Amino acid sequence: MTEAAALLSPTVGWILLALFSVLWIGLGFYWGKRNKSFEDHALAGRNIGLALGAATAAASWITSNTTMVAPQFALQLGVWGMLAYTTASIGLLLFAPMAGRIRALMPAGYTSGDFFRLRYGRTAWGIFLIFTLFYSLTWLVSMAMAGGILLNALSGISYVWGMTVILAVCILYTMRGGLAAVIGTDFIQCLIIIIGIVVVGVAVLANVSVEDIHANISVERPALLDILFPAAIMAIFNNLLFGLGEVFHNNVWWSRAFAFREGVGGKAFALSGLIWFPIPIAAGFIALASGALNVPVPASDMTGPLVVATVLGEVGALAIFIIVFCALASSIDSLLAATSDLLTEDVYRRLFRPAASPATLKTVAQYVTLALGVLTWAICLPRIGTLATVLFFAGPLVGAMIWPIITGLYWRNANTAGAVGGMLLGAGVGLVCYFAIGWYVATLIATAVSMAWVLVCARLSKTRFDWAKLGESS
Amino acid sequence: MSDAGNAQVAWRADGPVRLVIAAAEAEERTLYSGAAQSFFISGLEDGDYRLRLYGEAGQASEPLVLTVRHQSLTRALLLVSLGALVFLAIATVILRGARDD
Repeated sequence: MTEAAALLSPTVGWILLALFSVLWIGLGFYWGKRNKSFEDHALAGRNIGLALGAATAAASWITSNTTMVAPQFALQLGVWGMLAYTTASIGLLLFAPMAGRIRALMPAGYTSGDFFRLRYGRTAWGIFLIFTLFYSLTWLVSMAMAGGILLNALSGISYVWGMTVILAVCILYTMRGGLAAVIGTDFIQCLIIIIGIVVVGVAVLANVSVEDIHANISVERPALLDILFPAAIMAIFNNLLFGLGEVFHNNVWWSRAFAFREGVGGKAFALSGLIWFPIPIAAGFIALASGALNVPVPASDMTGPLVVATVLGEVGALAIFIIVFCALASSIDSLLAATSDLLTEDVYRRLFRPAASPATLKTVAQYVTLALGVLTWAICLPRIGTLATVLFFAGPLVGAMIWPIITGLYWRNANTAGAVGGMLLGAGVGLVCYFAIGWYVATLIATAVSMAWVLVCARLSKTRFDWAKLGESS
Repeated sequence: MSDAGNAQVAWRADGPVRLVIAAAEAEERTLYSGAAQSFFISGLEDGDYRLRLYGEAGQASEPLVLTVRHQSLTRALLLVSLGALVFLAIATVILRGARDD
């Protein structure tokens, strides 16, 4: 993020921050009253319905990146860049049938780690834990850093205070309310984000016609309309596979598959994919309109806020502040909850205290949430800009997990050698390509190498997995 | 040098400036006028471009040459084909569901 003049005064920023902080924490404490055991805390009693389910999946996937990087993608890579970003919705759409399968095979499951441990054994489980914890921590750090930087750019609130308040609020209500609080606040945050984006999109369209936008881009940025724009078309499948890897492996999504009421998971994830799909298109469209609206863009990552503030004035600046705050909170809370549950279930319970009571596990999960939040805060404090970009290294790691997961869920002949080799080979080759060629091929190559290894191992495999073993996860 | 047709241009100036761009043999076109200290250019096609700043009094800076050479289209299409193949295989496994259950 490049420094630019703040769109709101710090006083207005602090008032908004205080109002929403009180709202989220109050709701978190209220919804947390019903939690008695670890199952209540981690999986909201496994009784989430369709409306809440679809909203929480969509809101968790609408990160600050969706609202801020989607316009950047559109301005850098044009129409293909905008569409490349929307492919992340396919992760949710394809996870819909997987969620039903997961719920059916593992009715008492808690985490995605349970799947790896029961399906492929401890070696694969260990590799999965390293990969997913690296991804989750870097995602959490990038979100918290983005929070501090964005609040600073939008309102002049200092980076440290903005980042600290956002993290503290999310830690408090996630600790107290668990997944129920996360899902409840996600529902409200999802509504605010969608209404905000629609209002902003309509306001932009009221100020400039699509014909004017097209004419402006044709003259000033012609390559953005080029159907054979090399960098843009290369980004499409790399982005798509990164998104699939993120959703398929991470406990944010698996915990929801376990938490949704029976029969709800498939519909909820499909609906959330459809809800999410137009968000980056609207955000990207705003960026493409910047030229026709005569909004000079000093840096690509400030395109969205600048266009909105120009079109809607102070109301627009208020809207973008609220949208960004909701987008950040809805992702940070989900990641805190899912990662702390993973550490509690897969590390504390499985490795150290197999006989821990449900009440003890709930308390441990709360302290793990706090510790994870404090660790994230400490990493973010020095504001080392390059840290946020570490998230992109995770592309090959998550891409390499796609094939072990899908074949493990659907094929009896998928085996441990395929899963372990697929993850290690795919991630290794992908990381080499990341540095040797570029970010735009890393996830794609990692997924392709992992796929080839997993398919060969499955073809040669003589083992036939007994699905009943996945039901032993309680 | 840019391989994606975009670049971030930054400068230091005491007052408002006008940033112009010109492709080879073409006339200058104004990209930005104002007091900002940077501008993001994107969507440029292959070519050499001259960027120049003008101050309030009309004084001009030395031109900055920006060369745009987009990445190989052949490589891009090969990667798109590989990506499509991998994606279709993933979607097939999921949508086909469990086999030999």
